[in-house]
Amino acid sequence: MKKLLPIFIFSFVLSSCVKDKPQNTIQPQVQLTNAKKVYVINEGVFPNGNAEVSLFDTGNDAVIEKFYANQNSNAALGDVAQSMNYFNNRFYIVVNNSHKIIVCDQDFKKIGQITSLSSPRYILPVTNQKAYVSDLYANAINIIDLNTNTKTGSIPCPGWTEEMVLIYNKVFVTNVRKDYVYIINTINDTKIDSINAGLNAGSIVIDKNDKVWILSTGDNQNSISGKLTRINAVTNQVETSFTFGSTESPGTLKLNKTKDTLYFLKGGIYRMAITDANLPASEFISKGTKNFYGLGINPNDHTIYAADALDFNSRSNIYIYNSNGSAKKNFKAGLNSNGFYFE
Amino acid sequence: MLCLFASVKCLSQQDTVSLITVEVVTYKTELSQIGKKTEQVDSTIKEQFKSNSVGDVLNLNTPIFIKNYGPGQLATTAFRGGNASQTAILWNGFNIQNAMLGQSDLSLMPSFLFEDIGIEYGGSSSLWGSGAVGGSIHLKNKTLFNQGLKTSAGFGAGSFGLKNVSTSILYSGKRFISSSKIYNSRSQNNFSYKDTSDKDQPIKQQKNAGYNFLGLMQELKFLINSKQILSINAWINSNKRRLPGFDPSAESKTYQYDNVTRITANWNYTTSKFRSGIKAGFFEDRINYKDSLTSLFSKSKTQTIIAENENYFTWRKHHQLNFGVNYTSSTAFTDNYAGTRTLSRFSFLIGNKFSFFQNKWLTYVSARAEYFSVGALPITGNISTEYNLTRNVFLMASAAKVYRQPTLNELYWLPGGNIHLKPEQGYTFEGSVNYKTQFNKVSVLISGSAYSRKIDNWILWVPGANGNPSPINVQRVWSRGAETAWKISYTRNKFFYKVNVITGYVLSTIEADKQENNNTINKQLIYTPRYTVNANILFGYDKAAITFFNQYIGYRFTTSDNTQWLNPYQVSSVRLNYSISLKIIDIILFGACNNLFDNNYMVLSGRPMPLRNYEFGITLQSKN
Repeated sequence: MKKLLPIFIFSFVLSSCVKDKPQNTIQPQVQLTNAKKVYVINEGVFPNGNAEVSLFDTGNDAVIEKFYANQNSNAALGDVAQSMNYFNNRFYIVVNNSHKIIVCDQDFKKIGQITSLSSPRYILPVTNQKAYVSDLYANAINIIDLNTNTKTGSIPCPGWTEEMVLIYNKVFVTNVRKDYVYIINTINDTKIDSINAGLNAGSIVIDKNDKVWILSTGDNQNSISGKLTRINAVTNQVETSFTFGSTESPGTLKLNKTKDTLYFLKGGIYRMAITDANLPASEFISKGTKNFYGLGINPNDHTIYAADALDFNSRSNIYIYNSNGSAKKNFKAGLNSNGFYFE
Repeated sequence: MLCLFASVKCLSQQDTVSLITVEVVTYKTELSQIGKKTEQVDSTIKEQFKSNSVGDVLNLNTPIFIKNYGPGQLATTAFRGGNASQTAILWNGFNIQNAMLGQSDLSLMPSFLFEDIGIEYGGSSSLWGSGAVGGSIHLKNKTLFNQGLKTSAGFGAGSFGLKNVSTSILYSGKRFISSSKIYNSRSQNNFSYKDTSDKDQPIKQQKNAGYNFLGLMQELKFLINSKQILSINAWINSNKRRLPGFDPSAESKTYQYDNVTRITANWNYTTSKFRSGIKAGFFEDRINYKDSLTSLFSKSKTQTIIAENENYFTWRKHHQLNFGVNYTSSTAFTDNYAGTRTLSRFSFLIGNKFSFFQNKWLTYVSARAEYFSVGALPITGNISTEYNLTRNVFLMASAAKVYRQPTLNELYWLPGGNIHLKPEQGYTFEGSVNYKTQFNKVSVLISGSAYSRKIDNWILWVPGANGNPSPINVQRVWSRGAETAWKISYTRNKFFYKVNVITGYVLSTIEADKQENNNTINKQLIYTPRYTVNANILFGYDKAAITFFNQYIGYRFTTSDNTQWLNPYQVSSVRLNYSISLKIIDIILFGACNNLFDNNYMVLSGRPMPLRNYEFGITLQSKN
């Protein structure tokens, strides 16, 4: 027995460690009001399959962080939710690395999906029956039949196609890998023109005068400047163009409700009127130590929503600013929040 | 057959006749392991894992957490809270980590190729160079002279279309050895798994995950005279596999081809007081990645040349001096860099071993200085000691400065590569106590180790310009923990049994983070389980043995703020082997049932593991 004594002593030495079970920091049960909701698109961390959509209730500040799982019996949304669009009373969530678009009803319950996509980025309805989907790798715009949720064809578009807008039966397609924005005729689904709008263009909006604004990020490693370009949507001609410094990386162009003020990210948040003669000289909302990744302007109350992705591997902080730029409140959302949809 | 106390070292005095057959690398390993916890994979266990990879062996028999993407898919180590590039993978003393990636895939290393698989816990950069931070894995070929002709052929089959063939021919004469091994392992790997997030159709089948691994290992060994030995080893393999997508049941058209050539030559000169070794190695890793769905095609080739001289000189009765030089040069050829890029390193090593009290007390001190073609590398050092306190109690302690040089990808990848990266470096301390005793045919070995290691300049890829990730020296990580091993064995006549319980406890937390805005301080590193337990029980009778394995892996965080995680899992398996001795051959039958209780689990997020599955095999072995 004496020989076994050290064994027992040893066993006791072992028992003073950290408790393994982590604490769940996410509130499981919240009450929602009838106020307008804000949907936060959380990309998740590639390739961990932890994309989600968070729901923020502007009435009582309640957050349902995993809203998709909540409404769909804990189902996972997939890997890398790139964007979400709402039309025809349906939500369309583009899940990039799951190669699909999840279709949800107004209660956010899944009612279908669009598959056979390579690496989808954004979905834009062209008619009530037809939508276009941009793609990272396909070198084409996918054509989707919204009645059957199936891919019916594609329009060749070399490069990495990104955000799109529709005006006068034309779709303007931004491109990350090329200097050109492609224009597609939506009647016959053919590419009709292209416009030089700078390298690495990813965001595009239409102002109150039906002008198309494109923000290209450029490539500061190779000293290629970003550009903000205004295009006449009738003539497809560049009307004006602003050039950023070659070390800057602007992105994420947004528009307010009255479509007369542009917002974008360049570290901090910048804004300018569509009539301004120059790019804003100073930032509107300072970045501080934040790492802004997503931006949205709430059309209901003109507040500005900015998502801080921290180290890109943590739950995001969503900051809400008043229209004058003062901080209003903040809340936690899912991982790598990259955009918002305002009810 | 049974090596009961594998982890307790026996540094016996060897006579001069056998001295020559012990190669210099073995001396280096012994020096490196003074004062450090070490482990040798038990021969019975090795037999039971004969058709499996080194990753599978380590997974169920050590506290090393193997980050495995699934059967046949990438398997790397998380050793004492370090990452894959902080483990040195050494084949006969050569570090075979891919210089572009800083890691090697343990799935591509069949365990049967190595006569000896050893694990050295703790850092040893002064002896093994870059990467020996969390620990080292020693894969060794050990052939002895004068053993005659031995041939064997093994055939295996299993669930999901698994098929294995392995053959070996060993000719071992008085002065010449030739050992040839050929293997092929293939599987459709289309296992079913449970997708708990899909209520409508939870049972899914993995598609596009098949693999086909083919390889050859050849060893030639010449006993030139009583003082000199020359060995030449080659290991050539060609591995093709399909990589499933994020949703393993969805269509994927991704293929990866790993074609690897490793050739080494090793000359040893031995007298009773002086040993010298010159070795050289050429290593080529070609990785072709092809994804026709996303039109991604990537080709890379890395060539590494290693030349080394090491000398061991017993200059006084209790002192052995060692010194050596090492030249390592790695060149990468890939479209992902701005051109061909080379990293070279020239190192000088010196050390001394002190032994006192009839070798009861050993101490080893060493230092290593290096010249690096890109930036500076730290001078590393090591002091370690071990002492046989009583017949039963064995104490070990060690302190070392360790580092890992930035990989070629971290320095040169376009876009993002950062030429200004500093090596990850820090200090590691550890201590172990071993207690062994024997009574009434029962042997007991209990060992406990504790360690602490702080690594500065920890490299992480973080979003940089244009959102392109770029590696920077961003964190300081403190890894500390404890491991225990409880080994009880009993032998009576033809009956034997063994119980092994191996526990690991790792706290690996971020102490400082240069990213301005983070939520990571004092948080556990992702994919670093705090608790791991491996327990196995072996029952044997005569030439039959059955082993039950049970593994527990604790929570693994998947986000750096520790708000998302994977649940712990427990998985069991059983392996058995039985050998029949006939006149001219031995027949060894083998069977295994993995995931005995049909548990649904994932090692890594989104990578389901197979439910219950089987393996069978037969090996025919010639008798002398």
